[in-house]
Amino acid sequence: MLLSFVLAFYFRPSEGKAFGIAFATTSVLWSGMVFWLDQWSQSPLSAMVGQVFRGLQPAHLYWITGLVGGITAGLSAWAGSAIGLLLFGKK
Amino acid sequence: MTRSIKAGETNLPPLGKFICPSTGFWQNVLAAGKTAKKEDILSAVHGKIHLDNRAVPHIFAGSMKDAFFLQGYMHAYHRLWQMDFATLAAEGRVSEVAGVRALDFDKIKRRKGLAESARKSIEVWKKFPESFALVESYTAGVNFFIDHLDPKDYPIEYKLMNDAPRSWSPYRSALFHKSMAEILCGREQDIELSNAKLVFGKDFELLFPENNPQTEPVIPPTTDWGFKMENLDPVKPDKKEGIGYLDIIRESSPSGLGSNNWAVNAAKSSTGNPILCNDPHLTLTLPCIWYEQQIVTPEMNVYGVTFPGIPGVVIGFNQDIAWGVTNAGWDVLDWYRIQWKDATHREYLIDGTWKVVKNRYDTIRIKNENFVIDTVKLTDWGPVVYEHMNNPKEGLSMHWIIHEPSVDCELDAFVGLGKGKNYSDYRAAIRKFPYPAQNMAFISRSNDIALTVQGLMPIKTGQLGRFVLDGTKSEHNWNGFLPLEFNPHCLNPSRGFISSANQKSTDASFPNYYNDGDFRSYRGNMVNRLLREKDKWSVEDMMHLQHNTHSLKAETILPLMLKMMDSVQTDAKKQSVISALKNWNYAYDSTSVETVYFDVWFDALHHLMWDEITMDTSRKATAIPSEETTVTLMQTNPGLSYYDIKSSIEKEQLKDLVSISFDSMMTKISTPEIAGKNWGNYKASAIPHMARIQAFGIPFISTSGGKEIINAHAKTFGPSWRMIVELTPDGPKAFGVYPGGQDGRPGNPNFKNMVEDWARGKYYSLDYLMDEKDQRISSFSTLEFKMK
Repeated sequence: MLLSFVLAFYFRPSEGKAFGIAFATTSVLWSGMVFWLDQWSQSPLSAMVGQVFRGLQPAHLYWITGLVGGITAGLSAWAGSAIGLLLFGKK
Repeated sequence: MTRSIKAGETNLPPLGKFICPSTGFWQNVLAAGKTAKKEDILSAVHGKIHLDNRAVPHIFAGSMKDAFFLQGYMHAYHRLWQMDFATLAAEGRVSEVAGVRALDFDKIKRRKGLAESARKSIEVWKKFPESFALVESYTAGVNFFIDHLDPKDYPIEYKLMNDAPRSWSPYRSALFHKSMAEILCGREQDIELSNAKLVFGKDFELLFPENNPQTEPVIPPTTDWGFKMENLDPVKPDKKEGIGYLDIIRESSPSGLGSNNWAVNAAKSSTGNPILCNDPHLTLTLPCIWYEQQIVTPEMNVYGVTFPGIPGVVIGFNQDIAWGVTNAGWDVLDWYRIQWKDATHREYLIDGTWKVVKNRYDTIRIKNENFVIDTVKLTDWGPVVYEHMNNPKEGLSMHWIIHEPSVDCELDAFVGLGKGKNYSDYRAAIRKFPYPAQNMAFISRSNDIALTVQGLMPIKTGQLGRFVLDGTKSEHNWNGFLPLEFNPHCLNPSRGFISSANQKSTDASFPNYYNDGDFRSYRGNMVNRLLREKDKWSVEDMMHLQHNTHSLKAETILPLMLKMMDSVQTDAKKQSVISALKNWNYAYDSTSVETVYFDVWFDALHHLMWDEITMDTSRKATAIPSEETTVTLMQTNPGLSYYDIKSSIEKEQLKDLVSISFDSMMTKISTPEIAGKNWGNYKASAIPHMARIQAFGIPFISTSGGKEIINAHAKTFGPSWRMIVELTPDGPKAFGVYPGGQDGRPGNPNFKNMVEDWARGKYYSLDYLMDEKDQRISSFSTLEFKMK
């Protein structure tokens, strides 16, 4: 999250672009990471956790993880961009 | 993202933290897939832990202190959350984790005084520096694990509850001991029996007999007890009558909770080696309450099951001896009715004088909310648990054995047993164990078999403590404990076996009063019958015996019930059920439908027979005669007035009750919920997670057995550990299994890997390692502890 903020602050794209790029990269990265981790582990734990949250499947958890990561990174980037633009204007 | 979210009364975990790949539950998923073959750990001790293919740690250490450090470490490694949460519950601090919905639970726990008792125990333990050093070493091992645990590796339960591990201490080990005491010697029916005495009047002794002549007691009759009551200055029974109905409805424990143990000597063993068997019956949860371990030091080489939370092996064996326990079920919790001076409840009457209560102020922290200050009033008897009764001038105080000060370091009993070599060592070790009173079975390689009912027995006479006592007289206090040498015990009985299954410890000749506890006869009688009938026993025979499903209750009463149905007009459907029951072999097998018929029928009959209580909502706090007593009355009292149903204008007799309850059974088994179900499906046993997180438990498991059956798997409780040990000249041969897995972390390969095998009656051969040269170690994982 900090990285998104810093990069957006430095490169100062528009807020929307900052959010979009950060969201896309982080959501893909996080979803991919946990998918791989789950496949490697072969543990039933992700399915059990899904049941804790009213019957979500592991695939849902991959997407939710990606979504949460993407939103968080996107908001950080948006904030970084906004502050950068406010202080230094467009690059 | 980092704070819990309230959803009604539930606290959801903070989503960002929980789902983050680097810190959240995905790290638990990752950990579940890892297996390290070897790991070196720098610490303050030397030693090695070899983990076998079921993740049983075999600890090798150069000293007892190092060994207990490593035991603590492994308990935390596999069961940290379980130990933490169990002791939190015992202390009355669940609200800190679960929020306001746990507040009433916490208040009751604090009134019961487990925490106070644990604190007092620690002060006594410190007077035994060698023993306390082992407890401290165990504590250091647990904390070493916690201190090196990265938050990303916290067990998932912590993450779900947005919680973190608390450091361990000897106090928490003491708390765990008290929590076991609560389960095993915190049950009595004083309030309900006091009410029953009022309701049933002169019939009380008939309906609630203290002794069942058909019971085969744990200690064979005609034993010379070695003492007379007049030499012990017993407390005299409370003669005050007509106190009034106590409208206090308490949550009851599942009926039938208990355990089995037995042993045969060399003469009754097909190999000429003594064999000991034990299966303790407890509420089944995941993680399982038990944890297998072997501990090897120059002084000791012991294997068995342990309780994560306390040091030592609780049920187990070494090369020379083996031991196992069942609950003795004595009544060591008494209630005292106190009289308040006025509505302020600041003073109570004792020996004609008004005495001021001591107030203890407990701060109960509640997750995400403010704290609550709870006031616990303390009298000379103990804490006031029920302050506000129907009569505002009365309250109930509890006097419980755990409130008595310790005299020894109780946990030393298990150290002594682990090191024990013979009968004398066994007797010396168990003397230190005060409660909960246990039937401690024993065998030795030198062919001694023994059973001691070990625990502190308050000196009482004449039904003292069976009912609520008059708390205005200090003379009703306990007057000390029976000297331990007089506790019921036997050594090498002529019948060649010892056994216990929660039946009464002795016959009626035992001078000291220890009723009205929790005694049952069917299982014990069945075990003894089978042990008598067969001359020679092998380990395989013992496995079958532990899985025996014969119902002595059904065998005793079903023929009479069916005979009474002969004169009743029935249709084809009813005839088919009757015919099935007539051909039934009384076995509580999972595939049997007849078991369902009988169980439902008898339950309806029992309920109907005592309609004076069961169908009167104003009498809910009243005990009803037990199933055993009901069976005896049916056999011996054909004209009992209680067969008449109060709400009907007809005058019913026993055969009418049998017929009516049969019809009730037919209706029930025709409902969609039950129709066609066999016993396994009807019983619908489950093994829930300790914190009732449904996803981590086993919602349904079909097995044979039931309450008061040797294979005592009922709906929620059952054989939590099955162990059979044969002591051979070449070393112990042992077999065991429990419904769970060594690793208490959900999703790990060893979380519940043994459940299916346990359900199918399988046993594992227990890897008892004589030394580190054992070839089996080459296939194990190893944690090597090196000094920094």
